[in-house]
Amino acid sequence: MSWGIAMSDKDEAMTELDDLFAVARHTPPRMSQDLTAAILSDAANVLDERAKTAAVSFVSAQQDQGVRRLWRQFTSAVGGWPALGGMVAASLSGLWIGLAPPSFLPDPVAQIAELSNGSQLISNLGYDVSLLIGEEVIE
Amino acid sequence: MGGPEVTAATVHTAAAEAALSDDALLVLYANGEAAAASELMQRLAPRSFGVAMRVLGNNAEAEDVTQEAMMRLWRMAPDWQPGQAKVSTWLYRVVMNLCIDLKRRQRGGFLDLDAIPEPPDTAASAPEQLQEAARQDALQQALMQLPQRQRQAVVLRHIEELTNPEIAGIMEITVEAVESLTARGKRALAKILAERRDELGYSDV
Repeated sequence: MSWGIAMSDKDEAMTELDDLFAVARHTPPRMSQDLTAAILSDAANVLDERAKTAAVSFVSAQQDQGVRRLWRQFTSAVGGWPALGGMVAASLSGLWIGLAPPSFLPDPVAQIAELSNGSQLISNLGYDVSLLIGEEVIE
Repeated sequence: MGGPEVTAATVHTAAAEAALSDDALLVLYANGEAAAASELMQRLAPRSFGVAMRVLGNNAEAEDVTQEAMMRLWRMAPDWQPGQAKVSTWLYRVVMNLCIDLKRRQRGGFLDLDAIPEPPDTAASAPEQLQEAARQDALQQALMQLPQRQRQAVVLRHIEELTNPEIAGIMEITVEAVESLTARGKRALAKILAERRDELGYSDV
């Protein structure tokens, strides 16, 4: 049978097709009990897995909290964050004074350089000390 | 201990869940409510299986695709944004993509000799019912002769009775493309079936 059929035949074919679709809609393929059980078991397994993962991350979160609690105790012991800032500033200025002291203090960097040249540290120190005393006398 | 209370609570929960939207059920499930999975499964899995069955024409493959699609639903539940899209649309899209992937793998590998349409249930054997079964069988065979995308569009439009915009969302194409696919698919189906009119008992109608 060729497709070169009259318009009415074509319409009829479409109507028959629509009828077939209607029957298909009312007779959906049925799912097996096995598939139903497998899907529900998957759903339960996914929930279990997630509960386990959540439990693990809860424990590690608690461990994190332990570290954070220690840090909080330390900061509150020294007087909170502003005090911590003061401590950092004091430490940094100490380091700065040590490396680049004011002129009336011995310069450790220069002294180390001289030591490596083999000169005497004591006479050097004596000179600086006398200078320091002299300055105090002048003032 | 506490058995009857648990049963009563379960019945109560099931009744309450029947009134909830798919969205709400998915959120409940994500929050660890196992009973919500049962209701979601009853609503969504048979439709997924029906579509997969029509598109693949093979029971075992349709079962695999349905189970995998539902598995993806369970896994994505915690990330679901309620109210943004329909759960069923999301699931139809997953099913369709899994069907395409399956066929692609088969083309690259071996041809599944079992991929023959399953005959419909012919438990009742009255002649008219046998003929109706034969017609449904013919419809499935005709569907299998369509190109994959045409078949998907026709099944979603004419068997699932979804709207064109919804099909466009599922297949990730324009509404015009859906209209074109369904029109061409339907014409091709009518042509294939017309060649079997006598055999299917339409000639004497």
